[in-house]
Amino acid sequence: MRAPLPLRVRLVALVALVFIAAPLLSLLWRVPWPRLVDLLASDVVTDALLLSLVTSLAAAVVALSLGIPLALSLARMNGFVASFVRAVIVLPMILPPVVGGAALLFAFGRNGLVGSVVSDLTGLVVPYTLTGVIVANTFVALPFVVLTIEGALRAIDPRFELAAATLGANEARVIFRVVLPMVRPALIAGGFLGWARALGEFGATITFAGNIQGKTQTLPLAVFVALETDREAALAMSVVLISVSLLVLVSLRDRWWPVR
Amino acid sequence: MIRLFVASSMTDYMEQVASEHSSTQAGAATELNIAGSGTLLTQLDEGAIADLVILAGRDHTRRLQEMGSFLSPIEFASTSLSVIVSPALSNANLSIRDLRAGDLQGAACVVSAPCGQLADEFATATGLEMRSVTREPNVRSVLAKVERGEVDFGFVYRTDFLAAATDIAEIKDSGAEAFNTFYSLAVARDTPNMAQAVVLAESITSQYGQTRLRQLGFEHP
Repeated sequence: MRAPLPLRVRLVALVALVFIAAPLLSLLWRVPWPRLVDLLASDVVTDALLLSLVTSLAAAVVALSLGIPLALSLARMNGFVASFVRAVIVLPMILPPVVGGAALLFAFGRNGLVGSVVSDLTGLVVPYTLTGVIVANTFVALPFVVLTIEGALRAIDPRFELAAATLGANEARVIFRVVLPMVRPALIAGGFLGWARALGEFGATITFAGNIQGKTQTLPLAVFVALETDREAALAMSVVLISVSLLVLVSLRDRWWPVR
Repeated sequence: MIRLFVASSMTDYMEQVASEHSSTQAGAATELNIAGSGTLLTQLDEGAIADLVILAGRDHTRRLQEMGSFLSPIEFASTSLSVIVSPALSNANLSIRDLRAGDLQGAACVVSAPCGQLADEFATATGLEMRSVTREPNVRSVLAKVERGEVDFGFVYRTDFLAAATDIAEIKDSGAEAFNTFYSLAVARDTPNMAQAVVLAESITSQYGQTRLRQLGFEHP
């Protein structure tokens, strides 16, 4: 049992909560609920919904496949190296996504460092394609995946790994049969968080992958366009995005952030 | 502080006008909000306050008028559509037929921006497929993508093409020059800065302002 808070503190806390909740409630207030289903059935919206679903799921899968090995490595690093690597990984999380998108262009764009080589060799161009959206989504989702899993890995008692090794398990077996099963909740949480983040991605996507209906126009991009052309459709799509994010966070409860 | 809302294709001109105005008129600092005309309208719709608004597109101007909080708009300039190609393709002598083949990546404004509407009208008239064209928030981002070679071609205004410093090229005889956008300015009613805004508006419509507009490639409607 903790000591009760002073009234002033509780009042400020209430202001903070209202500050976050009020804009979302105001948005929901403007939603034309009776026409929600009709609005969501339009061409632009279904295209965007489908595209968002496919790309965000793909990004979550890629982010998990890349993120788990990275989290495992990171959890074994210490001191300055660990801090530095972690800072690099966190960057896409706090960077303005537009900057992330620009960075992706300079790397994988047609004239980018990697992109120009790839397109010369294979003729493949990543920007303005579905792959481009997945790349942008993965870029922003990966930090969530890595940090969530790394936190859990660090919390494991290293004696479990030692015991398994002593009992004759090889390196791979230790990882796949002992370590990863122990952090399964974090794997799930990381995957869902990465997915939710990918679903909401806007800045990096529009900068790197463009805004092509049915090809790279995801839900957030469609909302952005519809805000100026079809306000009601924009609101309807916002409802979908808010509900999904809320659902993810509520179902993960506090697992995504260490709460004692 | 005069709050100016400016369609992004008028960026260069209005930046000049605004800085001149601030340096000659004592105390009349200006603040520019630059975005696509559709975005500006949305902002105004949601309660943003402007003293002087400069919009592209007659539809957009009509919508501004319907808001009721502005004096009658004055049409003061026009420009036409231009189809431009990236520096890498600037010597390739491309025609609209090459774009129709579909293996080049294009960029155009979103439909809510007049440059996007115009591009769509042009595409319909010339049988150009717009399905794989990326839709950018405003004309400046289309221009930037073509200049950097991130896309092969783009739909911008003639004036943007003329103002571009890089060696992009315009597709000749595309017929795009028949597609025009008209710019209007409107002064907000009953704001504390109304007098200043009117002075600024008059300098835009003045002989001197018109000469400057023509130098940038705008035409008198």
